[in-house]
Amino acid sequence: MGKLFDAALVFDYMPAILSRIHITFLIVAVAVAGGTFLGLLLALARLRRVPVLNAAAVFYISFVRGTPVIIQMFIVYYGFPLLLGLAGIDINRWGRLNFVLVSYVLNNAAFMAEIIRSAVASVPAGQTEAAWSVGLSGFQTLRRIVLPQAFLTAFPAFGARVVNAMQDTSLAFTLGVLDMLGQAQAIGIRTYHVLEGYVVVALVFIAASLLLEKSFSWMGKKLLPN
Amino acid sequence: MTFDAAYILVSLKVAIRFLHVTLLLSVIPLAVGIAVGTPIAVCRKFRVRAVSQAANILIPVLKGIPLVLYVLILNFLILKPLDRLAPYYAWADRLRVMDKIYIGIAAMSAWAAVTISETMRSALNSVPAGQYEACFSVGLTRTQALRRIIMPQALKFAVPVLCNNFIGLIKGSSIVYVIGILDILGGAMTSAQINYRFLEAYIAAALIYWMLCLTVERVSWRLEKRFKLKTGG
Repeated sequence: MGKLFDAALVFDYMPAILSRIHITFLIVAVAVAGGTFLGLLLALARLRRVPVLNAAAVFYISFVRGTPVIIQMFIVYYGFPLLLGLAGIDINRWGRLNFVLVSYVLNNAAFMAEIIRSAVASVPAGQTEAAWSVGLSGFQTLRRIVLPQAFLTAFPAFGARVVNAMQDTSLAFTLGVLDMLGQAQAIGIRTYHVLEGYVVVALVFIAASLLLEKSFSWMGKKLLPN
Repeated sequence: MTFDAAYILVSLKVAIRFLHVTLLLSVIPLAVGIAVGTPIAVCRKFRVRAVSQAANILIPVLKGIPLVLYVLILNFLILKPLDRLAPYYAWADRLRVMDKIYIGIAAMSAWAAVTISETMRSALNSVPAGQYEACFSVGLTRTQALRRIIMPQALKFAVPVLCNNFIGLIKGSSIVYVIGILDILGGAMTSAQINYRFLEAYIAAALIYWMLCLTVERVSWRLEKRFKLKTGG
């Protein structure tokens, strides 16, 4: 066993750990895209007060927001094959990354639903009424009048959510996915130098968070001049 | 293996015994976070030299590190030096059974301090600049202004966000299982190791976390209502 912390090793390990960064990006991209889409559906069910779906959405959103993402991931990992097994679909051969993707999409859907719902609710009712009065249909009103305005309101919260989603991906390694943190631990087991790997991962996350935050605040300023 | 809802109850009974661990891992960091985060935020607001400059650089950087890395890195930093001393003092056995909850609390507290300092900063910023100017114009000192005028107004903004931070701490504390602390999640998992009912165990753990978070949410609503009544807005 050598030194506790060897700064030179930070640079030695960096390429190997950075080579797994695409896993993190993949999870974030899928989670945000899928989460926004599902979240929109959940938000619509709540806003339109669709009888059974509204109650189901409230229940689902409360559960996801009230439980740790790590447990959600394990529930999906053990529960999803059972659930799909009932429908006759066998996913026992799925890779672990797929379960991570499914759980992060489901997780982000709940957060996105709340962001979208409160943003849509913040658009004055007069806007919808005006759209209806000139003869737009319900869907047209939503797409052309309400959602564009809601988008501006939702944007800062959306940006914060994306940064959070990225930090949450650091838990994927607990399911055995070889992302950056998984790679750092693999290196640690091989070489007994685990701290240097963690430092590399921390640096990457710091850089990515700062970059995302800065670009979202820049975009926010472009979108909302005042 | 099929799903058996009855085992959820079995796991619930085991996991609930570790409730105090999760509470320790979230309440102490909340207190530490408020105690450390508020002075940092105040220093940044009043641009106290050195402290505010250091915080302006450090806080955004530390905010970028995921909680799990706080836990893993602190676990390593605290245990490894002790590990080296162990042979000289015959600690080896004691270290192996050492309760890692202190490491967990330290890591959660560090993370909470960073998060809550940001909460308090935006709370201080939510008070209009005119309030600060009015305080100084009538000759209040900074401490007086903070205590009598600014903080009471900032709290109205801070309390709901602090409750959110607390929920984040409760949920985040489940991460300490990666260093082997037995909290609600770890406790539920021990119950599954006997019968391999992992799904039921995780659902049981999720239910406890859910109830905890709903309780905090309720308290948050109550507090918000009270603040609204008090300030008449």
